[in-house]
Amino acid sequence: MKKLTTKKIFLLGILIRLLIMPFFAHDDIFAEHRRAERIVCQGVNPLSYSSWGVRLLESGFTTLFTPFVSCDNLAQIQKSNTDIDNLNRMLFFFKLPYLLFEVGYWWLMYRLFQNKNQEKKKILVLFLALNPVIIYSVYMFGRFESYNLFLSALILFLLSRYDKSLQKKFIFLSTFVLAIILIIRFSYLLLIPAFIMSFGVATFPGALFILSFIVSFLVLKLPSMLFATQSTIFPEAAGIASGAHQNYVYHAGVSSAQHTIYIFFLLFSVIFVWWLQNESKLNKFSAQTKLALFSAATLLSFYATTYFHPQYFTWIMPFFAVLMVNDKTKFLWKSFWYLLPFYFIYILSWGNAAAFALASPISVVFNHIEPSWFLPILELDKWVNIARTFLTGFCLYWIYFLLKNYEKNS
Amino acid sequence: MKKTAKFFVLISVFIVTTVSSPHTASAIMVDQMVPYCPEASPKRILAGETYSQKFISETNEFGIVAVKFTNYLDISDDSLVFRIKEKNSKDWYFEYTYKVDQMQNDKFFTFGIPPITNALGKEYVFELESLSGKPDNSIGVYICKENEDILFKLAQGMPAQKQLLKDVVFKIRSDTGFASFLTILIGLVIALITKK
Repeated sequence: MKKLTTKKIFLLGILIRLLIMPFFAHDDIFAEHRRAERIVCQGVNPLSYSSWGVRLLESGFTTLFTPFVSCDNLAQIQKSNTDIDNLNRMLFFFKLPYLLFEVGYWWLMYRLFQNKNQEKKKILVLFLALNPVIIYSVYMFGRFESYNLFLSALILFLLSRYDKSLQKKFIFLSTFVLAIILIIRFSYLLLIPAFIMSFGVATFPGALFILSFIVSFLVLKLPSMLFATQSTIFPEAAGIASGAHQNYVYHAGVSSAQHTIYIFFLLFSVIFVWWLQNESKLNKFSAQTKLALFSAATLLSFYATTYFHPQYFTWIMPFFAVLMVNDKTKFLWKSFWYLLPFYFIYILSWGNAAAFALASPISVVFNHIEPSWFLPILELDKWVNIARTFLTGFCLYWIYFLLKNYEKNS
Repeated sequence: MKKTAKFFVLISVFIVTTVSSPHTASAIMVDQMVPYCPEASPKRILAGETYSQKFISETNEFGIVAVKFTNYLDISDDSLVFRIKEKNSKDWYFEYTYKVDQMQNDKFFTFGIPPITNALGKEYVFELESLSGKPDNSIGVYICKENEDILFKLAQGMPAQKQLLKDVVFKIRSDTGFASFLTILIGLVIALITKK
């Protein structure tokens, strides 16, 4: 590994992705492209879907790739996700935009730390190019998280420009990018408090953030408000309020007489109170570092206390990368790799569909391999629960480590 | 040296776990009990409903029961309890709860069970019970028309290695253009990595 240059590590990352792209898939990537097929080939209005940002992106790329994957070919995914002609070619082109956006994410993250020493840069490049969580979630499972990764890195990049120049336009631009992420993945709503804590409440940048966020979000939401066929203009918010599929923050709670104490909010409130106590001391850190700290802490609270899908774990990566590069002890870098076995056992919670069956585009053989065969002694759900518990332990300790370190250095 | 030692420990753990598994690769594709009902149409299983089916084993040993589902092209939050026993047995031989988001559209889902031996000619019954299925949030199982039994036939699949080879060759032959393109692309990236 010592002999590999930065460029070669990035190329190795691309090679691994190219080898995986055509041969792995979960039903979710077909579900996503069934919508794209309806938009591109059947003329359905993309604004009629919630999270229309991702529908627009996916249908745009689907249109671009029609010379390679025709509408007739695409129509087959409406009926099946196995009996499809040119399945491997199709998966390759479905995921090609993910690779392009991820390379953009690498470029932005690398630019952020180009002045760091060689060792730090090597760690960053390894973390970006060979990150098993991203390789699994984006290229094997096939989720579109590269878009969010790129946009999160863009926010960090814009904030670094703000930290250097103090020009307010960078706050507005980063807020606008956050609004774009929200029309792709509404769950990033979780990070709004992190932005507020980074800029402060009773400050000009804080007020500018809140105002420009409201304006940006409404502007981006406007098309779907005007043309959508949905019964509600904020379907995602309705989903969250009703505790539907995409919302897990209410899942873990402790009963107290007539009330429930939600564990996620309990943990988040501790972070919030810590911020209240240390707000003025934290001013020595850049807005970019503070955003990375509060976003990572919020997401770690989320992972520690709720049911979350495998790909959600990618959301923390850009923020974690910033904290990891700034971590002089290299603890975050090392412990990340120790966390991985627990993460990969946790995802067996979704059974073989999230494990060997992902390779079914290679052969049907993989549909018949049970993950439990490789985890003897205990039942599979016990293994999953043990791994889940370790995951929670790691996340809680990381929050403690981050808050303690930043308090000490402030 | 330390890193190499760690690597070997990890590889050893993986090999020991894999080798100690009773399911070898060649056993993967044999002896599936596959429901056979060409005219079947899917029916949603709702909360509390139980779908039960009897079958007579046509093999002496089996470890999988395959049932065809549809997810109606949507992701449901429901869970299904699968249980199986010999028809006259008092207790269930195996019972496990599965999240239905694993079941894919119009595909057989294979319920893996601890291998049942001396099964030839014996009658078995399995049940599927929905825990929280709702009319708009549930999975559909392919069942026969009323009063018509599902026939179960033994699908003696070919050994896994042979099936794998067959599938890979078929995929390369059916889209040679893409196979060539990918080979060239990967070759180029490898050339760039190995370039001094």
